[in-house]
Amino acid sequence: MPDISRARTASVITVLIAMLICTFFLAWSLGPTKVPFTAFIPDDPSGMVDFVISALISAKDMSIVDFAPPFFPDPTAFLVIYGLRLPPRVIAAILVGAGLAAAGTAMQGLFRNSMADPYIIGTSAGGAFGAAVTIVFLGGLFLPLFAFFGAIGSTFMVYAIATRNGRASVETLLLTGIAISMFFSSILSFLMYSAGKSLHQIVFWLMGGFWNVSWNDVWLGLLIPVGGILLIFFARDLNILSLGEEDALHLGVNVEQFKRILLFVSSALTAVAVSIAGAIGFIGLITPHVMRLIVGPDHRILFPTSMLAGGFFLLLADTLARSFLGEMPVGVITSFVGAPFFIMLLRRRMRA
Amino acid sequence: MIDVDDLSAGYGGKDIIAEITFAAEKGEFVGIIGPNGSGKTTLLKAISRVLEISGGVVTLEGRTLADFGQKELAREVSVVPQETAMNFSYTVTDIVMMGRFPPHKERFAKDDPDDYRIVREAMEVTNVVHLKDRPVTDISGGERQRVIIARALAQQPKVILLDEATSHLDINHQVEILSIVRDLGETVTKIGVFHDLNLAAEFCDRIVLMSGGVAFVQSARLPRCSRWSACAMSTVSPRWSRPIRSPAGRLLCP
Repeated sequence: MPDISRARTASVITVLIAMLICTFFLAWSLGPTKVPFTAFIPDDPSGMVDFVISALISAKDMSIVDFAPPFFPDPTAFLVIYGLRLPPRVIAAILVGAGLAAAGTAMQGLFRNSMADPYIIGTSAGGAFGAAVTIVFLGGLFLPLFAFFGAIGSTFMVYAIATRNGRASVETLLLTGIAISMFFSSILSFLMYSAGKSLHQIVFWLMGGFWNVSWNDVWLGLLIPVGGILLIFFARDLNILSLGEEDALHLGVNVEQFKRILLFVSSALTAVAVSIAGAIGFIGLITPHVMRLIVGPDHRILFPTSMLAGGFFLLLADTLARSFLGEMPVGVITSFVGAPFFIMLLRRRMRA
Repeated sequence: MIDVDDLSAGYGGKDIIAEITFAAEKGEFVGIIGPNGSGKTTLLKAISRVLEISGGVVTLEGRTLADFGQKELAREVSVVPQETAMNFSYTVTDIVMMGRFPPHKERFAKDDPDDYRIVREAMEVTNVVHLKDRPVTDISGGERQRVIIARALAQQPKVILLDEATSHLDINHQVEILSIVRDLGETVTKIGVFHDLNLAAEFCDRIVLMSGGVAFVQSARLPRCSRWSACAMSTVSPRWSRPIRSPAGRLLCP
């Protein structure tokens, strides 16, 4: 890599991290309850550090409640900031955005098509089916789990159907993905039709949002950085695969094995994202697309930058939805902003 | 060097080529010609292991090709396809560097000065150094094909297989690219599928004629006139009912 592009990459990553941090604090400070900035800062930082260290040494269980009265000026504001608002929701938005962007990048590379997205092989339809099943029959019990296994299951189904003699061609995967998506959509429509009172719950899930995010979702979401790092390991192979399968074979890539890894990791990423926040559209399609325009097509750089940008964009969208638009589903915003943007890119391609 | 012995292969259980036998000596340029559907590309795909072979064996310096690992094979044999899809705007250097990573490097190894030197040399041979920072989506078809040949050279192979590598280029570029390939020297064995008989006769040391899935092989490097006559014969009689071969396997010239 020439030095110029290396410097450029470094500056793009720096800017993205800075933007992510700014949005993080913005998201943190905004909300229905007005909280003064002074409430963020502990009165007695050294006392708090001592407390944390002694608690760690004595292996005592710490709870967020232990911190508020002794160390912060306003206990109520403290609980709003650190207990309710910040942790699960803000972190989950970043993780889900990063996960969808990474999976989208992988799918676009695999399918050699910048119009591919993480849902292209039936992941979202399968997830939605799983979610609808538990909403209708079990009153929404274990919803994230059902969504996760629905999403993973449909991907495995697509792969199994598209495989013959141990090989799955990219074209067959794509077509099978469309067929399976339609199949699950039809079952979903039936479930919605017969859902009765719980219909609105399914509809809300489909729009995608972070209302019910809890710490458990964040723990699950920590799989996303793990998957992202795994994808970065394989970035060079993906560079080569994006030139075509036969070329990759001639250059020494074990194509079938690599495709299995890629499909599994990205569908797992998507499934985790979907189980946390529902089927949020356009993040996985647009983020890699935009980052490719900025940093070029090399997946070694594209994966980390797309993940940062995806986390940034989704957090921004969720903060907007939460603060100014009265808890609107975040999927509405991403698609509302995303679709015109997509059309703009399309027009630009037509001119080129 | 590379020996094809009694090779059969095809698609979906049906053999397209049957019992092909020929050998390419070190440094030789062997041309495969024949009408459409005669199995030229199938033969090449069977040699490069894209296609499962159903019978016979291909050996490289005495070792069965089927025993090579995927990466190991890429160090010995590189392929220049007719066309390479370029959906993403990698730079020319990125593309040529791909000849280094999977075959010669471990996943986490950095590109070292040796890699840069080899890539640079490959680009010099094919005359694409001036394009090194350009996106491959922005260069002409002839330039792109030279980049792909540079990538094949960066693999430092013993054998280069060309699958109609020049057939969608104009005649100037065809001659330019085939000259580059011919002049790669005695260390690299070249096997190419040709659509154009004149080019095959001009550039190759030896001709393999294919028809209906069987091959007729010139047994030794022959003078140009004999290559021409072999090519001429294939146009006169594009489909033989059975091999016209002397006992020695030497092609009978009209």
